[in-house]
Amino acid sequence: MPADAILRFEAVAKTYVARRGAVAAVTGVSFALTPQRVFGIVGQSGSGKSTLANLLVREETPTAGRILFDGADIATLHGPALKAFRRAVQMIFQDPFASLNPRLSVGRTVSEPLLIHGLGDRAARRLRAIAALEAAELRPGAAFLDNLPHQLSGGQRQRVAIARALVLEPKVLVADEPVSMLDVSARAGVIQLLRRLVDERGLALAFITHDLSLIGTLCDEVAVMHRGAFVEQGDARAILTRPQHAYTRELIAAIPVPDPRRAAADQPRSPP
Amino acid sequence: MTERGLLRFGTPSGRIGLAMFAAFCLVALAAPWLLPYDPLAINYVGERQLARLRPPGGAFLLGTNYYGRDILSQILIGSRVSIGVGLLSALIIVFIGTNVGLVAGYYRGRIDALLMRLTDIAFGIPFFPFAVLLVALLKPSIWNIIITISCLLWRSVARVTRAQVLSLRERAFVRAARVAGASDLRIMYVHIFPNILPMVLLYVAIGIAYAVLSEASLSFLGFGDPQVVSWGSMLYDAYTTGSISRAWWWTLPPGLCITLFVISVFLIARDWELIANPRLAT
Amino acid sequence: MSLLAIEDLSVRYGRTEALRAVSLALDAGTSLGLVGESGSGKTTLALALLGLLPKAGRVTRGRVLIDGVDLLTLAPEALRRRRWVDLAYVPQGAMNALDPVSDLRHQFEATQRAHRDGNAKARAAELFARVGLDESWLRRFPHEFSGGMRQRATIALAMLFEPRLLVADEPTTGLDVLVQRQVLDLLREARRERRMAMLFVSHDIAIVAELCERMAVLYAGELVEIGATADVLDSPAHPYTMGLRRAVPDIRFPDRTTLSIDGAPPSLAPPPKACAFAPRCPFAQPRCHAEPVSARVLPDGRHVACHRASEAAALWVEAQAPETWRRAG
Repeated sequence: MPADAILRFEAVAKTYVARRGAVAAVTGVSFALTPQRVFGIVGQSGSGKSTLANLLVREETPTAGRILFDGADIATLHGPALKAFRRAVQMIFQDPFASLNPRLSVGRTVSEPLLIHGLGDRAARRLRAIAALEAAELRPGAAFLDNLPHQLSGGQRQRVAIARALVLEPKVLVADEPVSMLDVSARAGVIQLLRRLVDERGLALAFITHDLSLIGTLCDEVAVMHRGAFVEQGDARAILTRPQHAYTRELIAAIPVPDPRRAAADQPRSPP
Repeated sequence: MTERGLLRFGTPSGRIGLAMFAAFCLVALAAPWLLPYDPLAINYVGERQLARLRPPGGAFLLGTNYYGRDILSQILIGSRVSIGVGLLSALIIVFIGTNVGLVAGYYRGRIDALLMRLTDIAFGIPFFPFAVLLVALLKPSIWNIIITISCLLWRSVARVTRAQVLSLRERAFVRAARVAGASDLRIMYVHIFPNILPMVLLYVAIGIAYAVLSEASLSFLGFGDPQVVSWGSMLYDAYTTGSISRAWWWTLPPGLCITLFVISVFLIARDWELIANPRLAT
Repeated sequence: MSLLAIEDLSVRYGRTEALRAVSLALDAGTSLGLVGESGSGKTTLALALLGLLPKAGRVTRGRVLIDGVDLLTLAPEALRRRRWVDLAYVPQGAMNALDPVSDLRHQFEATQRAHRDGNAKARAAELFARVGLDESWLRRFPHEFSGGMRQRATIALAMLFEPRLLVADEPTTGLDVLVQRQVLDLLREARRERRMAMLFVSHDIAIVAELCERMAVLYAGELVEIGATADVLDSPAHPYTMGLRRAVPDIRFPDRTTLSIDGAPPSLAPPPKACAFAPRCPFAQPRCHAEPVSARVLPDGRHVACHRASEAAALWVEAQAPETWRRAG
């Protein structure tokens, strides 16, 4: 475990008790988030990645193991310490439209975290909101303040969500499938923005996705999740080019590739 | 019809409803200055003859009732009580119901169970026997009616609001507010409430209609204040004096007013429903 | 004669022209992939072709010919008889299109009864086997199936009458990578076995590359490029296709950066008169903003709707560099 890790999972498990019996969503997961590095978590549905996302932002607490933030077990945080945690760990959600309150303007949405934590007066909040919007590549920030979510494109809405996450100047960002609902032609921009923010602001980013092909350009480290556990974990490039575990290899082999040779292999080419 | 269009102009039926509603409210407000006679004054024709059950015409535009009272004046002053009780009770119903629904739907668990049991009790209590009980315990007054309506009719609003809140609380923007550190109160009233507002307003409209009908029914059954004139009490007087079959000019005006007022409210409510649920418009 | 010929099809929703003069042809036994992003009109095209447009959608111009018969002019009863028998449809979110209150066996029987006489039971078992589902699952209800299994069941239903044309709208969206692989392999098998023609609508170029010999790219309601998949992917001729190609990651080359196309598609209410992509195009010239575009035919037989179609090869070289896309407009 790197010494300067800011958020650390130690053998964390989460089991839900339902009427039919216990469901072990996460079974003993250990990893660390470090400033200026991106940690990717790849999982299909049912792998436990959504539960992991909830654990990361303390929407849920573990049934076994510990989650340490700056050395303190987050399950025990209360009051001001909990608020400090909330300021430092922020989340970007999958659906850019649903994650913005449809009745609030962009300005109000982005400045609300400041309001919640009592940071600055109205003028100061406005300035910080504009700065956050511009950091998310919505320029000029002031022009977007009065927009409502439905007036923006999917990529813009996601940038507003990123600005909202940035406005408190957090140390950790958890991105839960941040581009899967965006058009393909808009994804690279958001991914590169996230990388830039990590490099320039020293953020620690947890990038959760089901799509392995997004990992290559963004993540430093990656963990492949299956049935609640990490089956493989390590350097991103190494895992993508020389996967060790059978499941990882199966995943990589299953991904369709934009290679026309695959189509031609089946049928002879016919003119249009 | 776009939401913008609806918000600004409404449908033709909605506009008619709004006009009728506004007319009723204006008349209710201006009633004291419009009265041709004192509504409780017993009128005489000439020196000694009681102006009893006179048909419309002449000095009494809508005629007189069994006690010689001018019906038009009664209608005018009665509108204040009927409409006033209707509006006040509706606001109370919606206030209680919305908050119960919000808290129950947001917190779930034990709080939800407790509040829903309360709601079930409210559903279980029959409306008119409850009114009878109040009359027996307290002296007859218009407040009995307001209490009966307010204590019981919030139950539907609570159920429906809770259902909406249950689904809204799972939406990403609510989770986002929680992750940003928002307090429960903030999430309930700044994030969830504005998104259920269209439905709440719809229930205000429906609540008014139900309250007016309830007041009329309760007064008609004699559970109101005998000193207070309302449209329902007018029907009560007509019934108890055996005049219902004889004097159409006594029963038609209050019945018509109740009906038209409730219709106007429902027409407005229909527009609100279209705004809250635009898919209904297609 | 082509199995399917769409001529000059235009569809409008109120003031929005969702589809503008789209023409394409599909021969029996061949496959065509329709690629486009949100607002491109690809789902509208699939729905219009099947006569399934919602009430608000109106076909303002054009014909949809199957074996020479214009589907749009058919009476509802005649259209219904052709449906499912000649052309079948696997809709978007098909896993949610199954009736939740009847078991699969009943759904097969109901579909059979609705279109032809005959015994669906044996067919159903055979089709389920073909999509890799055990016969015992026929007696179960949709909610007992996983998402991928439901998708396979829907495809089995679509093949009940061995249709000559299958229209599939994003059949793998929302499915896991491994399940998606199964469904794709299944579709490929099905095509090969019975020489079924397929119109495959997707936003995912990689999937289209796997399944379809030909590819059509839609942007803002118009067909901007159509040709053999290999040609379109190896050397795209339309700037939008070029941008799309560079935006798609390739798992085999994890280090290669992908690109974004700045901006968003234009509003179609009313639609732009000149090239719809011009505002976002790094190669736009003054005439692109002023003159409407008509399709050109390239030497390899492709159709491209671009003023600079003749320079496509040179533009593609430029398009591969990230800097090109930063100065768009």
